[in-house]
Amino acid sequence: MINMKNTEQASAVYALAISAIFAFLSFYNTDAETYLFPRIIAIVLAILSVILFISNSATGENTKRYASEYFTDIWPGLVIGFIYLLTMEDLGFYISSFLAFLAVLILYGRRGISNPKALGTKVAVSAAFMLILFLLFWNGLHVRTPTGLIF
Amino acid sequence: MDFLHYFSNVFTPYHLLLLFGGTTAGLILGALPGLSPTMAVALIIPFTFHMQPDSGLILLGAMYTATVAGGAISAILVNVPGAPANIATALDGHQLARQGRASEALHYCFFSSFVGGIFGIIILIFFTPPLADLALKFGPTELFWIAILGITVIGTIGSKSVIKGLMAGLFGLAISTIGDNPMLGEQRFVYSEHMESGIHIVAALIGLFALPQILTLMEESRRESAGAMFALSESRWLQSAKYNFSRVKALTIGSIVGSIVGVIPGAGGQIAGLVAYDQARKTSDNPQNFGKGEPDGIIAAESANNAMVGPSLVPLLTLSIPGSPTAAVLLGGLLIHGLFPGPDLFTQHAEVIWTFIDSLIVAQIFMLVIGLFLSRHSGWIMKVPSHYMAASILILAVFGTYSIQSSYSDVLIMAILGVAMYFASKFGFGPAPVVLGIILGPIAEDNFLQGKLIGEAGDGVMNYFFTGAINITLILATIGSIAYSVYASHKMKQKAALS
Repeated sequence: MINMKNTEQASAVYALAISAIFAFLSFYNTDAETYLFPRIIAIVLAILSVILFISNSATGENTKRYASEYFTDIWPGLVIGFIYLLTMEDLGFYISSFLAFLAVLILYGRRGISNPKALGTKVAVSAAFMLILFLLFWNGLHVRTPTGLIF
Repeated sequence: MDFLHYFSNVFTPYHLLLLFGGTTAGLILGALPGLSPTMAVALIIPFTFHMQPDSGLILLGAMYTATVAGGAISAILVNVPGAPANIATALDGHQLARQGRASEALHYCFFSSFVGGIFGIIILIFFTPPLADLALKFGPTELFWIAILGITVIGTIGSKSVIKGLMAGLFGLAISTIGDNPMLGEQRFVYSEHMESGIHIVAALIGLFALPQILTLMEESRRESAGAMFALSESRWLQSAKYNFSRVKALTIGSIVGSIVGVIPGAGGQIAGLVAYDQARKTSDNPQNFGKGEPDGIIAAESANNAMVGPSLVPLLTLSIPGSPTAAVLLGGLLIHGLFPGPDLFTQHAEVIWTFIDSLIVAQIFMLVIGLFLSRHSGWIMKVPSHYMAASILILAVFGTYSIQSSYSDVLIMAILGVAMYFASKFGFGPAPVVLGIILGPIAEDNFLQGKLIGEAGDGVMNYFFTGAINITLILATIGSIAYSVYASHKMKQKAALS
């Protein structure tokens, strides 16, 4: 059985899985003419995935840090990003962006919300950044972002 | 002398303002450790969308030039190269800073970058038109092989693993097939309304380059510790200039090596800087001083990485093959303005393209002047915490992507591609081949289908694709780039095993 903790071997397994999915989507129930180019890509991709899989299984190089470890550092950011994307159309781009900006500063900053002065600075920087963006995009580039419920 | 004919176009107040803004922003972004020039250029592309093509390209060109030079600031002050191109600069630059000569080291950077940059643009001016004329002979099969060569070269030479580099290029090609078939117009892989118009190049560029950077900055902010930064002493720039220009050998080595590496597709500034540094050390009278604060090390490395900028555009503007990952992003910038590399660029869009090339010369002057100014006041740039950078890039990425065609779908696609790229990068897959696959995918598919039709009507498809001097040369070059990369990687592994 493959040791999935080994990043190199895991990369080969994931690549093989993605190649298989792409090959399935290109060949199953599709028109040969329309999907000719994707099918060629799928075949070459599958061949390379197998080569990668075989070569990595043979060498089995170990890496210092496993992919899962990175997740512990970035999951708060991913959650912020997910909520940001979900709410931007309803809350409005500028309000949701302000909240996302502030959330990143609070969650990844050293002092979080324990220090009122530091929190005030973060709120002020977030507001100033949004003001610059508003002047740049709304006034300068005339990009009309969804205003949503608030702005 | 077409380039002289359009030179005056650069000197409009608007273009000079763009050059000033692009250079200043590029130097600051380049100096921020962790922000790559490629990401900076990708992030600025949406702003150029609303501009005239020449103005947009001037802004992108200024950013490209300045970010490479700006990376030297953090390399010297905190020993963290702002970009891979500045790795060699850190070797001696940071040692000089430790000796209390940080300002002097920064002066050497900007003077050398200026010399190398001008040299590289001269190469660009004189080598591009003849190569563009050669592209006149290209039909569908040649264009197909050119696209394949471009993806192969950046996937193999520019990546740590040959197989992973090639696979990344193929993933990009696969992504490019989402949406309409170029010949039949039928939709493919459209499983959601958000995918109906396919993947927009700029959304992909921003997602693939900016989002992984945001997540990496978030990672860094969790373990950020105050690094050692060295105070900027008072230093007379005129004295530095005199010394810098007296180091003819280091400047020449850097400029020539940078230009040669620049023309090689996919190689980039990192290789240019390191090769020039190595050559300068080997030919120096005092090789023992390298690594201990030898100015020649900085001069060779910095003149090389900026000399690479101009020549990296030679294969890009003529054959659609970028000389560096940042040049690959610049290709996206060209395409969104309806400018397709090749001979037409120098006939139908001569004014735009020559104005752009001429602006690169002026950008070098701006880079020198603003860089020298920043070298005295650059300490504050180093103090920007990672989480502030991450938050700013996140919002800019979202707004930039939305502004392309006011589409929420583009923002979603950008986010999905970016997060996927972040995890893929942890498994050794780089974004540059994926981007090139997305950009060159439609060119490859369109010409492949055209070639297939012509082949079927003539002597057969295989015969049409695999005969002819240019086709064979391109196929051999593709095989050669893969073979060379396999050989180089094997040799590196052997070296590592021995040590």
